[in-house]
Amino acid sequence: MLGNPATCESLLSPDFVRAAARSRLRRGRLRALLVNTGTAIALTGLLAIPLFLLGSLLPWTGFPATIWHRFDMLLAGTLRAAACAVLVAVPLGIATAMFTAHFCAPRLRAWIKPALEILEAVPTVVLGLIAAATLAPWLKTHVATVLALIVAVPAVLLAAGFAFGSRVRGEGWLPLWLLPLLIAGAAVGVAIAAHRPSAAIVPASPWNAMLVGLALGLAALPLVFSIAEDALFLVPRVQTQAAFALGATRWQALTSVLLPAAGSGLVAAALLGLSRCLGETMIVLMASGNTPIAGFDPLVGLRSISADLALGMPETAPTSEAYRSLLLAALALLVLTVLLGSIADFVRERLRRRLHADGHA
Amino acid sequence: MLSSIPEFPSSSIAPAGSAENADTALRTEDLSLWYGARQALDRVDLAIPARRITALIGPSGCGKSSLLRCLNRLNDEIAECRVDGRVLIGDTDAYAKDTLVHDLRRRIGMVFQRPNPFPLSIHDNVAYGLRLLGIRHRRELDERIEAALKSATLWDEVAARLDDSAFSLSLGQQQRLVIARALAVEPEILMLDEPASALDPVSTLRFEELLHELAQRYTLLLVTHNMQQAARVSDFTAFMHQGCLIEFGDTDALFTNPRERRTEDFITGRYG
Repeated sequence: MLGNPATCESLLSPDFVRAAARSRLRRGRLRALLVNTGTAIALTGLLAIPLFLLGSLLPWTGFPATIWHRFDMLLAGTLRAAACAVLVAVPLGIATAMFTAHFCAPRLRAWIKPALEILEAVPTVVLGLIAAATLAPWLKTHVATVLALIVAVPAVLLAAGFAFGSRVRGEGWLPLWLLPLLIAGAAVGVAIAAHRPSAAIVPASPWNAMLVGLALGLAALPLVFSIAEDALFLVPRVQTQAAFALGATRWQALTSVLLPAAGSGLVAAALLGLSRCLGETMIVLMASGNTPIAGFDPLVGLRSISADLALGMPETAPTSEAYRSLLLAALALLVLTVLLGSIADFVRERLRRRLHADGHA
Repeated sequence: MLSSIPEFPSSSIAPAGSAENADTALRTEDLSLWYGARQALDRVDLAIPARRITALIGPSGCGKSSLLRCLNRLNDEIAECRVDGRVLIGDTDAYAKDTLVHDLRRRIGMVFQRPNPFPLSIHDNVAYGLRLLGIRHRRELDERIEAALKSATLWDEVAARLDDSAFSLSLGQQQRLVIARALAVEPEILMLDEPASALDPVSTLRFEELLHELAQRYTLLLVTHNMQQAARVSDFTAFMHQGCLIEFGDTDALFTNPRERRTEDFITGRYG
């Protein structure tokens, strides 16, 4: 059937085939060139940032002690804000991820993930505004209330769980049942506190690290959640099924299979959350009070590297000492975030490779 | 445990043939299953004899695996899955409100199509189910692990390297490890979902010998694509088609003299 060259020739002559192959090769090369050029430009941009910072700093060999002093203060502020935010974002983000990846009813999961991604898309300036304008004055007189609620709400929920937990059906929907309870509980707590304003803990300023932590933590929560959820969801189904088939309860399957397998992914989620908090500018700028105070007290204001850069850059002369101190701070921030990001990437990549190897061993 | 099974005055199809008075380890009554709007099982009545090998055969998508996953309620994990009818494991109603699902699953071991050991050592794989039960004592763990590995005819090959990763074993060894893992928690029934489909012919032969040995002590329920395997290994065979149980009987009788036209078409290779 292939022995009839006449029919072949009439469809695709050898000359035509050869010419078409050559032209395809040419077009392919051209496009590859465009793609490669694009990549090269992106890489140049990436390299340009640290090179610019280093290049601007190099002419000065020594830094006076005042610069270092200022730098220490800014670094302490950045770390304090980030630590407070991580305390909010990491436990909440990872708990939500554990629920969504393992306990959640699939129909609810299809709804929770996009909802939290919308939270990620809320401009941080909006969160900063809410924190600075509404939350700050309230928090000034209610630090004790917040602390009491942080202890009381989980305690009440745990007690309720022990009392009625065995009767609960449909645990995959539980957070929706808890939501009104939680809101009601918080409202009651706030109402009680409003009648008796507590003077037990009064912050020095309404804009302080605790406020930053709440707002910044909320902003970093979706990132931590989505990376942690991916890590947990990536664990091969056959592993969880094997655990279930051996008689594991849902919680046992989580702690004995999912958490060990996805552990490094959860660490990566925490690191990227921290990195995000270190670099975030707008919330810190609006909610921190921008007061240059070093130290580790969460109830006083702070000034962070990022906020200092945003505020200071327009009003410093490019030759002044203040300018140099800004550049130094920028470089430190860059190094810190790149370092954290690289560690997180390394950890995640190792996790992906291990899970992949296990799934197909 | 098995000896105390009451006689069920039920309409379930017991296998036709020699086992009318054998103990029943597992029984389904009017079992139907839906995934959303799609019906996967249609009123299946089945009585699995104790300490025998029962093979489930049928074309792809006929509901064999779905049936297994109904029996240990692994289908609970799937969204929009609905079950109707009864499943009795011994004298426990699997879908009763007060049934503890995880304990039910412990009583029914399951072996999957591809070996799926945990990314742990050989020792810890077999210890997994025991630790779930709260057994922590080192000596007791070791004894039970050794017994389970011996039952799965793997002990001689791994005794010297229990701390090696389970993935250092060959696929055939991994599948026997997975059986040892299931046996360690002392199930009554062992369900195997096409357990030999990932194995080479020599490992498969070895595996089938193991099934014969296990049938002395356990009730085995074997889903297989391979009709020769069903004929070689099983005492009874159930043929399923499009979610229905078509025929269930003594393996030799079913393969040599099927009562149903569809069974005959399938085993003679006319479809499937």
